[in-house]
Amino acid sequence: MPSLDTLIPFIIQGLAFGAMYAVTGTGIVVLYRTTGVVNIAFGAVGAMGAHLAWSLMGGSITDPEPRAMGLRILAYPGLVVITALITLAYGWFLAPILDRRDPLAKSLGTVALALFLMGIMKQTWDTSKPRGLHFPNQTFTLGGTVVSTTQVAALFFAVLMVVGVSLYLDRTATGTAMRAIANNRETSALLGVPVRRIEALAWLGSGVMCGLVFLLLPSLFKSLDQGTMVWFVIPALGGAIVGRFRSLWITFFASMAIGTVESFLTPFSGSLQFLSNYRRMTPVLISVLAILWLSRQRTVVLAGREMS
Amino acid sequence: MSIDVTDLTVRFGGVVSLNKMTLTFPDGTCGLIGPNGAGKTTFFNVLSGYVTPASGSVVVDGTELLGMPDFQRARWGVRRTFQTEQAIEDLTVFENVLTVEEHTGSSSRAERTAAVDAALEFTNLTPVRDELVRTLGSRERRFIEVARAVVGRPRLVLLDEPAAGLPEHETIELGSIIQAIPERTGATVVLVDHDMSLVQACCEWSAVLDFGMLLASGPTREVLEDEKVLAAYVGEELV
Amino acid sequence: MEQLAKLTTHRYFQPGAVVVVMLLALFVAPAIFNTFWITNLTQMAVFAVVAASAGLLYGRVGLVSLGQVAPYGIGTWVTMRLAYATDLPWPVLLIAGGVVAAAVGVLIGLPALRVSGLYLALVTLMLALAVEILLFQLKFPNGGSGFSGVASDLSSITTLPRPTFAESDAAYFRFAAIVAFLMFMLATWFLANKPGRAWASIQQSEPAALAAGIDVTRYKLIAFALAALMAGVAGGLFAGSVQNSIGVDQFNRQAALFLIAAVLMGGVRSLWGALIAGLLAKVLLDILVEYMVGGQFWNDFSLSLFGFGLMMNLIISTRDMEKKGLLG
Repeated sequence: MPSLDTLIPFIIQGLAFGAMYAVTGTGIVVLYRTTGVVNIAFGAVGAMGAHLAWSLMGGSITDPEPRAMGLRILAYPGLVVITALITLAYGWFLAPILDRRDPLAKSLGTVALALFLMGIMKQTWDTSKPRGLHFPNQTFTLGGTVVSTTQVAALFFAVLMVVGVSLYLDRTATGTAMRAIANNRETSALLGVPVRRIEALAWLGSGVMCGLVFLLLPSLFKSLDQGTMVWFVIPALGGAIVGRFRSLWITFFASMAIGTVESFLTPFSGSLQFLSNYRRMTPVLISVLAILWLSRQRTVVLAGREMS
Repeated sequence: MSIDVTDLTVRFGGVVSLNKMTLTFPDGTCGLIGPNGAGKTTFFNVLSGYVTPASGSVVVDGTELLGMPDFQRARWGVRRTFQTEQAIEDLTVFENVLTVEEHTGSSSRAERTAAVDAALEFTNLTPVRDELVRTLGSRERRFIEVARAVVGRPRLVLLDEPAAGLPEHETIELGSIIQAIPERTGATVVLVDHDMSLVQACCEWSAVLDFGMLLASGPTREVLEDEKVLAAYVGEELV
Repeated sequence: MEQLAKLTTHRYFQPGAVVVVMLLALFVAPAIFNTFWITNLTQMAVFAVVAASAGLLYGRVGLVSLGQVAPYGIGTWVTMRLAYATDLPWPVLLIAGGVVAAAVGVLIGLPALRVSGLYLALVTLMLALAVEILLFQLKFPNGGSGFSGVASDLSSITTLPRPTFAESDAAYFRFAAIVAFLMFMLATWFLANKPGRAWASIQQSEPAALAAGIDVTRYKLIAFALAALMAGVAGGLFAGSVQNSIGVDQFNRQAALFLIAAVLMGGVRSLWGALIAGLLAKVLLDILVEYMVGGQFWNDFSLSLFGFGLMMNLIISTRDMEKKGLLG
């Protein structure tokens, strides 16, 4: 069992990761509740944005640090614009075609998007090398441990997101419209809610959140390759499953737990080496346990829209 | 065989769907009528095992039904049809009925085939025996549902609006089939329908539900003339 | 015997087409194609069996499993380990891989029983990830000793021995074609009999299936087990076709999505769709690389092609459903 001194940096890193899973989870849940689509392409879109932004920056492997020279600084908001545009484009042009189908078929559309982007990325950029934009990273000591500004930013960002989005859904007109559509699309349309526009807003919001996550991610995780980026969505799905694709706060805490446990297990060695080796199974174990617990009765109904 | 329902209560969230429903169905073909939302289909769903009541008991032929797992009830002898017909599109008529028989009945293939063919003959479906249900119309699909309900050895046949969507001459044909079920199988039939001429033709005895409770029961003609029953139906059309 | 005769006259079996395909596979193909194309056809046969397993679950039981790569990988691993360690004949090796995979399939099916549709898809994807991690840690056997069979030094690495009756690429292709045929026949046998009827009922309406006396849980597990068995046997075939340095990339999340795209593009209503899926996934790409302008570009771009193909398939099927008035 590693010492507490060894574990603490990993726990902190885990909190930061969990925070990023949580923001991803928030984006996924809100989009699902509004449109009935689980965006499996979240990671792929983010990866695409990160790679394009890196290239726009004139990125090279030897010099990945940001240079605030002239227009290169635009690559940062550019990343968010790219992910937002790709997501919105899918949501505006392709998603409506699958509109009347069940959530599975609609979500398979995002699988198609993910595959499409993965092919382009594989073709254009070397898959194994880390890519992405980096933030200047200061470290400071907090109670004997080294913490980086990006980690703090990630945590802060996640809390801000879940609080902000919850308030948004609760208090604003468009947020309320999203909840209305999530509850009953047909009735909302009859009541005059501009369903397509609100859905587009949900897609746009998801795209923006995606960009923000992938802005922070490379600074948190130095060896972030294409695969890790694309599949970043899976632990977030684990968190969303625990939250039954309904509760933002449960998704938040479940995602934080998944990220923290995953990272916490990294330094285990010796007879407990297997814990480190198999730590990436954490989202699987947690979500399967959640499903077994939640489905003690016959069928699992989620968030007003049965997932079948 | 008689069906003894005692204090059956079903709640969905805040809504009480069946409210201490108590009645005894006699042998033969019984009608179960009532306005929309009275709890008739909920009652069937309790008998099928899809819904767990909050309290109460249902004893059929001496056996308490409520303890039995859902799929085993069919084996025991509870059969039903559904409001929206559920004949399996990908299978032939014969296979549709065979599916029920092979999960509830006889062991030898010859016996199974004989039982299925007998049920098809009983429901006038023999001409379409080997057609895929996908190619067939509503008459055949509705009749298949009944064939599935009567094949083998049923003890309780629950028919939920079996003639819905059928034109009059087919409804009459179905009616004569339904009337013959108790004699052929010994089962008790409970018929839920809004078509009062069908109920009158098939059922000597009827019960009326309203708001999940028994409103009236007895010989069908008397029940249909009962003031309370007519009042419950005000605003609804008696076909 | 009588059962087999009954099977060949069933509507799910098209004797003419089957005879033609098998004749082409066993006699024509080895004669006219060179090693490169024969190897591709072998991969096609293997992929078709995995696709059939996923297609059966999706199209015939209504269970969307994104996790069929898991038993596929397990079957590969088990067959490899036994091939290196024992002298057992290859059919036994394949069956062993299939049986272990079937056990894994049931384990995957258990949590998946309570959920359906999209939720089921996500859960099976997660469980496939778990198996992927396991296979990544274990690594594939390469001649070494011990449980994992992974050699610690390069000199111990040996090539996986093929069956003695199928050592050449052409002979192995024939072997794979026959095994694939047997797997398809096994699936057809299940579909044409009691399990298939139960599955058709479950797919259309679980309440109606229960009302017919069908133990829905049991039959869903049987479906998962059969699908996993098929994928596991295919995994064993895969091991023999590639013979060495197998990594996890045939069995990872990317492969899982690629598989479902191919399966849907091929069509899930009939087992023939699985053959089309195999053709698309393993032959078409190489045809593009060989004969179309751009060469290797098509290979790297293959994921995008399948993404596009999946989207097209979804759009076409949606239009089709709209025309039939199936969408509310």
